[in-house]
Amino acid sequence: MDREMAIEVRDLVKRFGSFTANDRLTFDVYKGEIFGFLGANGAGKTTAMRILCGLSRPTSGRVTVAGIDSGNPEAIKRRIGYMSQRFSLYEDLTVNENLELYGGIYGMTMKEIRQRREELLQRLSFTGYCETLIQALPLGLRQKLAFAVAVFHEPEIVFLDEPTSGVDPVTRRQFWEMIYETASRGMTVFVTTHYMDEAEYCDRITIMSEGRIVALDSPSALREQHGTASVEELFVKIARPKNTNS
Amino acid sequence: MKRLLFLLKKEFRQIIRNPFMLRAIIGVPLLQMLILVPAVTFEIKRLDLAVADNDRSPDSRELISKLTGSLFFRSAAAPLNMADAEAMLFSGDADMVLVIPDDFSEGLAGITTPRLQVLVDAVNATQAMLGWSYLTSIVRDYNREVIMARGAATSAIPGISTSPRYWYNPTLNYKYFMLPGILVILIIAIGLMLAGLNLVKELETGTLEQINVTPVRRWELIVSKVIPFFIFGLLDLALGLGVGWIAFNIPFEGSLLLFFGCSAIFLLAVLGLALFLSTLASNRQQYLFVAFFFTMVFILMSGIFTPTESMPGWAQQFNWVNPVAYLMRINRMVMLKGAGFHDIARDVGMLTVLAIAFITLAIRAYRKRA
Amino acid sequence: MKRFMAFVRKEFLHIFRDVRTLIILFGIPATQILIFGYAVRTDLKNASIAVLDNAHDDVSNDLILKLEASDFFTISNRLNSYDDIDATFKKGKIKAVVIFPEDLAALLTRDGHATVSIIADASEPNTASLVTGYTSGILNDYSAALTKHITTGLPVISPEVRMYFNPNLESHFMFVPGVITLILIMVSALMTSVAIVREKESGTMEVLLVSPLKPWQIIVGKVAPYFFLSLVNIIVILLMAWFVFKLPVRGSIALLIAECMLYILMGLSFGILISTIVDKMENAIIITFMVLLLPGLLLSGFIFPIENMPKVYDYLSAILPPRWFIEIIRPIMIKGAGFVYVWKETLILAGMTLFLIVLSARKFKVRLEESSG
Repeated sequence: MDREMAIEVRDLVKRFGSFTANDRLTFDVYKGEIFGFLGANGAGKTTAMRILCGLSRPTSGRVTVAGIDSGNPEAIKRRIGYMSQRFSLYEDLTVNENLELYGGIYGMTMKEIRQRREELLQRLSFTGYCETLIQALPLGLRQKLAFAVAVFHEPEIVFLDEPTSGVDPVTRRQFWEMIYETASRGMTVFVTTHYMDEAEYCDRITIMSEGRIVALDSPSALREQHGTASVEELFVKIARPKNTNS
Repeated sequence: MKRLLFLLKKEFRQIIRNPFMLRAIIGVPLLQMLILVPAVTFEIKRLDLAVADNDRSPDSRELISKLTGSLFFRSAAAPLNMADAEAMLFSGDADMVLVIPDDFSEGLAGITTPRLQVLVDAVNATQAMLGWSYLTSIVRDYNREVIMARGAATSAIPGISTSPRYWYNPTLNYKYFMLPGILVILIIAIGLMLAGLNLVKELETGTLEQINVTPVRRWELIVSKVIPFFIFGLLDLALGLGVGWIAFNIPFEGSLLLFFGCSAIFLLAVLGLALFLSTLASNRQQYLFVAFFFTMVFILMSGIFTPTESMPGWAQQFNWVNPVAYLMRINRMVMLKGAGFHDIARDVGMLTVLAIAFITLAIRAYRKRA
Repeated sequence: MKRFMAFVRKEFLHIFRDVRTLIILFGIPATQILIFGYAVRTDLKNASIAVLDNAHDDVSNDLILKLEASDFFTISNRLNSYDDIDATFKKGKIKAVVIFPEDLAALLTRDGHATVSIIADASEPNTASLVTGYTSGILNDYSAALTKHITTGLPVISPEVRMYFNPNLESHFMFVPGVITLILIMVSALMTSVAIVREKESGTMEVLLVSPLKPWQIIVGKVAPYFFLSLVNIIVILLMAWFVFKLPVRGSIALLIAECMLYILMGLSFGILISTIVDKMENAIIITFMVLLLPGLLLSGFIFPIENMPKVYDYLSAILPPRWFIEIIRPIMIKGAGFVYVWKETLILAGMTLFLIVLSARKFKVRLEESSG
């Protein structure tokens, strides 16, 4: 197995005071795969993802993203895209203006922006909304647009933090089609979710519980190992935090 | 650099799209100028003087008419007795009470020493002091006349009078004093409140997170926040000055260019400080309180309203880092005295140092995390 | 009711868990009182003046010594010629130039009268008139002493003065009540409006509104912590005024606290009213800042006595609650006035509060109906 590595994580530890959010995480993400990061709320998914994106520093351990060490977060940022759990585009700007801003920040020229914007909006069947202010868009479309912004500059890796939370099932379906389509063009997708059915769509998944990785493999292999019918069942079996009401 | 242009485009679009913000940027200077400038004056109007005349002689009536005929006093109802006099001070019916003892005219006749007793409401210390000093000088004049009427030589009662002259503002027009100050308040409000809030809002609503995960440089982000408010601040200043000019006919002795140049440096310092403070706050409520604090402290300690010389040493030292204090001095010097660059070079220099320091601080304190 | 108490408890926890906000809410008012109590004075001390002495005789020497010895002045320049004055003023430090005429002493002994000129830099008219006032005071004292010296047997009036309520003529006696007024309105009005608008912005207000809590319960629950915070602030400030500035509350503490509670209530209702009018926090802030802070600072009598302003400001400031509050607490704190002296102002403030409460309750209801329709 000599696949190219998109992300390498070795013994990653992140502490906040006496609280350990990430406890010696070790995993690899291969280029072009859809890598799922599963866990209950508070399991440490978002913390780990923020470290990978250079928004936060690890307490210890080694992290390499797109071949760059996490000691150089600004270089990492040039090669990744990120979609936050919380909607974070400018609501008082239009769809076009948001894309233009982020395209510009990543160093694209106005011409490139216009060209790629058209192409992307077409692909996402968004064309009717170009001049709409974000605050007027329904939630499902906002999430799609946030995704569009995250991949607009064609990053090597895109990080999606619970991209489908609060979205209706039809839109969720469409969303995953977008993710597949993106991965098929060679982009690595790193996605966190707490919808267990979505885990089945991933090439490989890790399950986190209380800051630790408790399982890591393809969904089918994990089901087999633990003799469960679905990832959901598997999750309930191995990832139940001791403190259940968290 | 190209990235900065995209960021700036975004800032301007957002500001222009907020009609309230535009209205505030235009309306506030107009209102502030028109309402606040003419309001403020320390000039003491006539004080309410109550007289308890226990002597009831021509002498005492003469003294009373001298006092109430002056520009400084207005007669209030006469108190019945000492307790009543104190009650008048208490209720505010009188600012001062003059008690003329029943042997006053005997005193003037040389039989006893003529005495007067004055009770002053000293809650407002400055007013009390000045009222007292007006009263004594009128009493002295009266005394002089009495003595001269008795045939004494003028040299027996030497008096030194003062003839005050007021330069740069001969009529002691408080508008000339307030206008440069209100102009400073105007731009500090824009700089400290609006710019800082803007950054904290992005933090609070999460849009900053999306920006932080891009390769944008810290200085680009900070500068993109500085420039729009810098421009609006200068526009507001021009607007405020124009209103002052038209409405109050304020003289402008110095160079307009120098005035705007200094204000521009000041604005940069304030914006730098605002953005630095906003990196320390975690929500708008916090920022607001901190900004309010700095606005108040800067304004009240700068000498806009009160003389800085009266402050204790540490407070005067504080003004080394108070941009308002510098601009305050500069504005009055340039507008009213027509001072040139060489007169204010030191203040301009210090202001520049502050501007550079605050903006550097803001860029360095900004963390691309969160 | 139980549900309501639980909600109020949640709101309290919300604020009290946020250490940074707490530090700001308590630390800043305390610091402000300290700074303004110590630093900001409307009187004059150590003003730099220059002297142009054309006389060089005993009288001018004596007078220079007297000026120098007073607390008001520091003589930092001695000029040689009239032409230096403008340049000196343009350097900015000198507030006034005192000019002694040639043969000052001779004039005094021959005519009994001489005139000293004072040229004041009136770009700060207040300082200018204080400087001239104090200077003539010093000259008056000097000539009074001369008169006594020369005219034995002539009747020289000696007025004596008693300064009531503030015998040491401290200017912070004026300031502390004003600072209290401003801080209270900040904490109550600005903080509540911002807190409620924040809920509206983030959408959590809607969640609350569909809960079984009644709208008034939500509002009361939201503002209750700020009411409490403001009260604690008041107590801290009063204690500081007492211990640090020796500014005791001469009147009844209970009356003072009751008046403060009324004023806080007014601030809270004003905050609620603003929050019902605007949807964006920036706008709430701009409105509060412009309506309350600046006019509050300048037109309420905090620094500038209202009776000295043009007449229309007397009416204009009548709509500003801070003005009435200052007129209430200043006499209570400094003069020891009782309720009989401030009932009129209290009534006005109470009327304003009632008006604001009714208005914001109605506005709030209208908003609810709009959003549900």
